[in-house]
Amino acid sequence: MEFGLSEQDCAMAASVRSLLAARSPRNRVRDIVSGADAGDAVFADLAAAGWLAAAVTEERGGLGLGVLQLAVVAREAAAALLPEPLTSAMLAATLLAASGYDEDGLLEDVLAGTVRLALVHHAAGQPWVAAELHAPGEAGVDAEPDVLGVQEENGMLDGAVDIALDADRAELLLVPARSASGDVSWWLVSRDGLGVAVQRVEAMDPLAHLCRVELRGARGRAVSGGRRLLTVASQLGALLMAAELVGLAEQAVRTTVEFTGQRHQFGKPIGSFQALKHGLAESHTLTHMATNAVWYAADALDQDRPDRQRAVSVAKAAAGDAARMATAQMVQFHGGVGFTWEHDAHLFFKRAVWADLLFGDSAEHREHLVSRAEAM
Amino acid sequence: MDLTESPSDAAFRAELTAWLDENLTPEWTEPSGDEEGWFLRSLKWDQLLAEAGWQAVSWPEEFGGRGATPSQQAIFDEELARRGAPRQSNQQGIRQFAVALMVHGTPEQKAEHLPKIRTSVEIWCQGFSETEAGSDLANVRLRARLEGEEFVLDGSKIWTSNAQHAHWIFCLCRTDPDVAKHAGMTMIMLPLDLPGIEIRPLIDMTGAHHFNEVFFDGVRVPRANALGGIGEGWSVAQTVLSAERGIAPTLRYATYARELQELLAVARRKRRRGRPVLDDDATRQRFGDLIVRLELLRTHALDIASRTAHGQPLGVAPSMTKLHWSETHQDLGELAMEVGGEAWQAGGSGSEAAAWQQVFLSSRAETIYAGTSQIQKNIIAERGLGMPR
Repeated sequence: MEFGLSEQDCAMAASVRSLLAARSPRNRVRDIVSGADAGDAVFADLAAAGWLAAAVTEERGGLGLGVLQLAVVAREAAAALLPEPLTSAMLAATLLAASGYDEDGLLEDVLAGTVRLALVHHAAGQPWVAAELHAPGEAGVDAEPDVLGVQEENGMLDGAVDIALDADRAELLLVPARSASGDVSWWLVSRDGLGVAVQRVEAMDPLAHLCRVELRGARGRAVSGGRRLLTVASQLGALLMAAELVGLAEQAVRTTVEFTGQRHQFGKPIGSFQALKHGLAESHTLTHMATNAVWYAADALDQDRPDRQRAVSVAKAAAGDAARMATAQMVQFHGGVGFTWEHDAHLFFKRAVWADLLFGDSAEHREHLVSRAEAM
Repeated sequence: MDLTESPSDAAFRAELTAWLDENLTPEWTEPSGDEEGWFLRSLKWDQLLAEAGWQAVSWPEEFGGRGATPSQQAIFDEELARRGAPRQSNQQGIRQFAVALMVHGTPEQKAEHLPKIRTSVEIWCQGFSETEAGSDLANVRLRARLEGEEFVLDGSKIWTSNAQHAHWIFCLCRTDPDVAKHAGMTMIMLPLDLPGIEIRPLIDMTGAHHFNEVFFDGVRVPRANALGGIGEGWSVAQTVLSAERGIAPTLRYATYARELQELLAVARRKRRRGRPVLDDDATRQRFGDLIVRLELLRTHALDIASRTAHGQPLGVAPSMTKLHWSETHQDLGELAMEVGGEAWQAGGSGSEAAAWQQVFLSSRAETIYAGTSQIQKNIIAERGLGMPR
């Protein structure tokens, strides 16, 4: 029995960290925030490392690893405040492979990062969590199509999605739609196609690419997968966001500990005061435990265990709480400086908010867990 | 990462559950009424376990255990907790003191005491805390003066759990007041029926007699009863405290998960403002949060079990465990009082309300004993994060 990251996983995390430090150091991130840099130059290097293909089988051109390794990468990406759409690209690539889509050599291009793909999903006000409600031992019920903002009839797509992560940086959109028959159909839609409008909205987080996508009589290539793929998308999306959230939390704690060790007031480092020690002990504990929950959920998805939805909800809820706590604390414990635009604290603080909201926020996942427990 | 149960763990679980299916009959799991009733039944259960070879499973076989690995010990705790088996009557003896005895004891001391601890012939209690030595345990003042081949003990201990039932006590004593605090202590074992010992009950908030004060007035103890060398008491105490902190979070998880399911059922049944309590969104969020926190405890236990099995350092993980389960259980108790409402404020002995009042009240001590939450946070910050002392 071995829990958590293996030596190889730790080595992978270290190599991701050093590549990101080299290619996307903090001053580059600040240039992107100020608009001096578009923030996409590094994507090709990241794709070349093969991470988009980590959870894809070798037969389909992937690395034959798993969701756990995707989570390791996503955690590092968030800790580095990586501006590139790496996590969303890993999500979309994995889903495309999972659908079995086999035409035009597209999967190969997506895994190599030469074709940019983004999942277009959430309709504002709709719950995102996969409705995989069932009693132990019973067959699962997959996600309901009612949550989707896009309808499809005879291959024509109509509707809108309010927050499509990184849709503006993709040339192809992977779109689930509620079909006229009541099922879920999937489509590959060209971002520049007829009837497709993608608009990046000005988000609270200057690094985020949150986009509104409108489809009016748009068409695309059909992808199989139905409700099952929607369930996978919601679980994998939630899990990768949870990985980002614990990455943000851990980096926030680390940075704050370092600062409180150096900052002196009243003749001592402020980290020697118990109020700060206790606050950081609380966020460190929650972050540490949430990280364990993320690894557990990733493994549950990789092993297709019956408790995978529950594990994902636990991880997402805990990670969201941890990140919001640790990033708020980072602002607070840095004092006045933590409130400035110039300091990085606000970038962590803001990223934690939308990462928590995507794929079901903590409250939504808690509700889901209670519903399941009630049904037992 | 590989969470598949090893064949030996699976075999252990199968053998255990087969035995439990046959031997953990209903009379063991019914509510036991008062404190005395609880203790007597626990003692009988411990004796049954010992006879069947299911007591002290993690002890080496040479001392009557099964050499159970940490994951097997966790399986043991989980299965018994899940089925509501009686709590142990000699927990401190078997899971804490015996560890110190195996590490620090002479062959004679081990041969004399371990078999009796395992069979609960000798029940042990822990003499650590004093009125002036709580969180600051190194401040102990119980004086043990060496006179020839005897120690003479003068002083007192407080919060001594189960002293009223115990046969022996292991005491952290001050043998040398003239050296640095941490260097002048010795761990001394002694039977509680020696002349000069007085035990006074301390009744706790739940109305139960669990804790005691123990007074020592010129108590004479053979020198051979020192565990470890003279002056090594602090190191022996650390062995005991680590063992205490390391006690499977799995046990807590399984017990509290059961409680949470029961409370959910109550919340579904009871009504407030014209609808089931569980229909209220705020209440649902509280339950959801408790589900999350219990699952965090479970995965945390898996991590600790894995690290222990692979000989990797635990760091401050045990402090995180203790901080987390105690605060989670307190929140569960508080939620129970809200769910139960006015009706649960009046609960006769044996009632559902009384059982939940017990959970609510007894959980207030959980953030205090075995290292307060404040001390655990200090440890996590200083030793875990390297923050300045």
